[in-house]
Amino acid sequence: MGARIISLLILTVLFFSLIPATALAETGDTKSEVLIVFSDTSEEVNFNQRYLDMLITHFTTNLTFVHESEFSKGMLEGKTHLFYQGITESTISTSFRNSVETFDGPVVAIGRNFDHLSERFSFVTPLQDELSETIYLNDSPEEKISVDISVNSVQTNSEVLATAENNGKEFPLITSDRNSYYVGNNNLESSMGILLGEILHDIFPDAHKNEKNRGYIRLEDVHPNVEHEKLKQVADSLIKRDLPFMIAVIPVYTDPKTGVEYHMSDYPKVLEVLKYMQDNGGSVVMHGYTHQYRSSETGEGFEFWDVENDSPIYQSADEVTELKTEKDFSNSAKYEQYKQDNIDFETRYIEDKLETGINELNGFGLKPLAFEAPHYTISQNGYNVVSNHFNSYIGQAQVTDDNWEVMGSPPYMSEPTFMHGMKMYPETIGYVQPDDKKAIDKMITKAENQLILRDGMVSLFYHPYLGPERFEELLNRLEELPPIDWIDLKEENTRTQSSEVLITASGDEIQSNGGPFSSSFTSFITMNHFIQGLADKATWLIVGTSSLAVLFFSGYTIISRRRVEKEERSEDLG
Amino acid sequence: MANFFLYTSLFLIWFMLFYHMFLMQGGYVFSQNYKKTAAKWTKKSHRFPTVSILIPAHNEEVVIEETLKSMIRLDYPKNKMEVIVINDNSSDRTGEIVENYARQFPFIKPVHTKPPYGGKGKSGALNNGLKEATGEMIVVYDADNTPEPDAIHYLVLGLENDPDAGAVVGKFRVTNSNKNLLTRLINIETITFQWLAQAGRWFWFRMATIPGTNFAIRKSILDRLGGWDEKALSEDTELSFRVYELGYHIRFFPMAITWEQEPEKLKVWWKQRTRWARGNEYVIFKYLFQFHKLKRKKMAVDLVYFLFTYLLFFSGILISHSIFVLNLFFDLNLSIGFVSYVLLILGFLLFVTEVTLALSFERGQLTLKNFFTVLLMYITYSQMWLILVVYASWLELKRVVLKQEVVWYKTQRFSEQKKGEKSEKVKAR
Repeated sequence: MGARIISLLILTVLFFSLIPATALAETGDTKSEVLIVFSDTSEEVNFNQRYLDMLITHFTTNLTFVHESEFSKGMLEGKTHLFYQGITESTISTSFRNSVETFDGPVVAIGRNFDHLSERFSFVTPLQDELSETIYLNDSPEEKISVDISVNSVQTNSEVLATAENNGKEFPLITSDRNSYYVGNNNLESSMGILLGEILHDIFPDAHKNEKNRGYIRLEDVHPNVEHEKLKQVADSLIKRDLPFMIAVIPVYTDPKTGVEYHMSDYPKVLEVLKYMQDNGGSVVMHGYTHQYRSSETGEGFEFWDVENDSPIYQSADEVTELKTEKDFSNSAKYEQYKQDNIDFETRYIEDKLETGINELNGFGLKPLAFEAPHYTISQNGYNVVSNHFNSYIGQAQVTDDNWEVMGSPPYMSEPTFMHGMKMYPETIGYVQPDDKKAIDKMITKAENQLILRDGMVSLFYHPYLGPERFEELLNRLEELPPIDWIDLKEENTRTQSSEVLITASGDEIQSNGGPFSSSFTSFITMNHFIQGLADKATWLIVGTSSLAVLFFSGYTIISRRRVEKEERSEDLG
Repeated sequence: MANFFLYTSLFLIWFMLFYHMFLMQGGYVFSQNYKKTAAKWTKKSHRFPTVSILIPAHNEEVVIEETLKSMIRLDYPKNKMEVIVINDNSSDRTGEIVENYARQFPFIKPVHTKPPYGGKGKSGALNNGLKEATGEMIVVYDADNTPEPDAIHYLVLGLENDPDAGAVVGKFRVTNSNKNLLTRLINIETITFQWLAQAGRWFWFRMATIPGTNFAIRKSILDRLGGWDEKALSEDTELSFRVYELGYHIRFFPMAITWEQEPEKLKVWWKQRTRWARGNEYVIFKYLFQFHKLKRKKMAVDLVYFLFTYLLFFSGILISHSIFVLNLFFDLNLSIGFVSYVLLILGFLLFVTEVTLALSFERGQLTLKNFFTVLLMYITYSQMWLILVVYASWLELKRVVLKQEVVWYKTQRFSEQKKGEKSEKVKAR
């Protein structure tokens, strides 16, 4: 009896001791408070700041951004870390310079203007810009990353943490002097982020020392009109290896020629395979609703970005008018109103797509656990709308509303502030490009780079229409790498919600409110599908029963006829 | 949308077909057992209650004599029975013939009615006859009927042995079944109707519809009900409902057999069936909207059945026919596929097996000729019914909207003249 209680106690203690480790694993503690001062063309936060955002929110989400010209001393109150990002060459105010000098915590200066900062950065002297071929961490100089970036090279006698190399010439890339750090490059979206990310682990208190490399495999662009045999084959490659995976599902396929929309109910075989995948390690990621806008084809078109205007979706698909600029308005109030109307339109547009998509997938028994924007393009307002429905975001992030091509991803898990609480599962090593024979080699190289980072993410996607052969090859190559903890979204505490349904996942289980019956009724299309399924079963039941009746009645007829004949005979005799 | 309609029609149709399957199963079990019941009752000694036989006759000179002869042949104590022929406003020799017989046979009692009391249709005639009736039991025969000698005896046996039965319904057979294709079809139809619908309903629900002829009902019940509903076109169905309402059941007892004549011309058939269809529609609406007031909810079985026959099953057939035709010209994106053909074939097979099963209960009916007639029936006779219901519903709608008077159409008789001359001079009113 006593032994049992003791072992129970031990188990309990063990159990609880595991919790903090896992809880902290992903975004670290929240005690660090970071102020980021930047010198950039605009005073408003834009893509450069957001790249930095994605790197820092691996550790803490308490970030404040301020343009250098708007800095005041009070802003540093309560802050534990100070970052300076010099994108454009500019002067530094005395107030900021003094604050840098006197700030207690670590200060990280990135890019330009460090020579104006203060005495604190006198440990580096600027030289001319140099191009790099490879970069590496000085702790592991053999693990080199090939990357062409322009390095603000410096001369220093202090510690060099990372080095850039070109033609045998080496330049300090990241240097430090006590708790001051200098990062000689602004291309944080590049592999540079891997090195900086690793170093940030020493700057922030939570070192993530015991963390393993995570990763994910995502099957991309699975819409109703995919070839279900290939989809199944590709899925089976994963299932037989017992690998969890993600499926980026587009609920609707739009035929570009006719404009006709096809839903999962129109392709029951695909739906069947998807359910099989979901039951065998697959997690559904909602990849837009139609993955197209205007007349483009599903999977090809953009859905949350107007590519013609290179703007967020500010008008319905049948309108093709150029967006207005401030010059078109008599006063700025009217222009502001115009902009607000546009944003309201976009909000409704995205809201509607998400609602419909979640309800429809759910109604078909597919539980979307996260969101991935088509072509990774969506506006800043879009992230806000998405965050009302999802707490998990998959892929790369478009980081400005000025140009959809400006996008990137941090090398590890993060929780960018512009995603309003969503956890970001970055895609880092790309995909198998159909016409690139070396695609897999390139992906593996990128994966190896990711592994330099202690909790670097190895994440990729694959288009099932390419068939299982290249996929097998890719998986074999991935298995040769050091073990990667492949992410199962079902274990990630995801939360997806629409006005009809709340879907949560934790501990390998998906919960959604309402029974299996009511969930089919979250969308008209799925309700229709559900009823049709029932109707179909009922018709076969009718076939079965009436076939039996036909048999029985034929039998009765023979019996009855014999009986009547017998009666006749006996009467004739009598 | 087309899918929705298709499935709706499919389920409406198959609900009906399943009900028929169910009834046929009951009919089969009953057919194998009712003779034992009859034998048991015949052995038992019983009394012979007084019986009044009502025969409404309006211009029935062609057939009335045969009917009267069959009355004389009845194997029932003549002092216990009276035959009341209601010569209802006839303009031919009907009255004369009846008077002749009445002089020779005192149990035949003619009642001659003239407007304003007479000439108001079958219900009116029956009510006039009822006034004169003294019997404990009332039996009704149409003027063209020739009951078998033991028919009355069996009807009385039924009422005597089953105190819960308000009425006992016998079986009718067709005399002119070999006359032409139409009568052959009607013959098959009546046999199936009686073994499937009457026997089946009796077996499962203790219900049977009072037909216009060859049934016995307790006079006490008729008195309580105040006779027949003169507004009803199918007074028999209507009467059945009121008998149930009193808490009695109606027994189907096919030992009591009568033979009757069926229409030999499509036009006559059409008029007769239109009257039945309209009559049944009248009953649906009379009882459907006051269903909550009814004490015996058992009628729901028949109401739903009628509702299906005349409205839902019928709409189902119409919809599925339309979808079939539309689909020939347009792509309706129907998702049903292969199973629809299976259902189409099964529906046909069910029809054939049910009808042949019913035919097998009757001596000499399950012939190769009749079997092929059944196959033909599905695509001809059964489909005619569709058009008929549309027509009848249209007439009923018009009657309700325009508040028209009910006109009772008397089925035209055909003389069974040996030399083939036809005297179809009976007028339709």
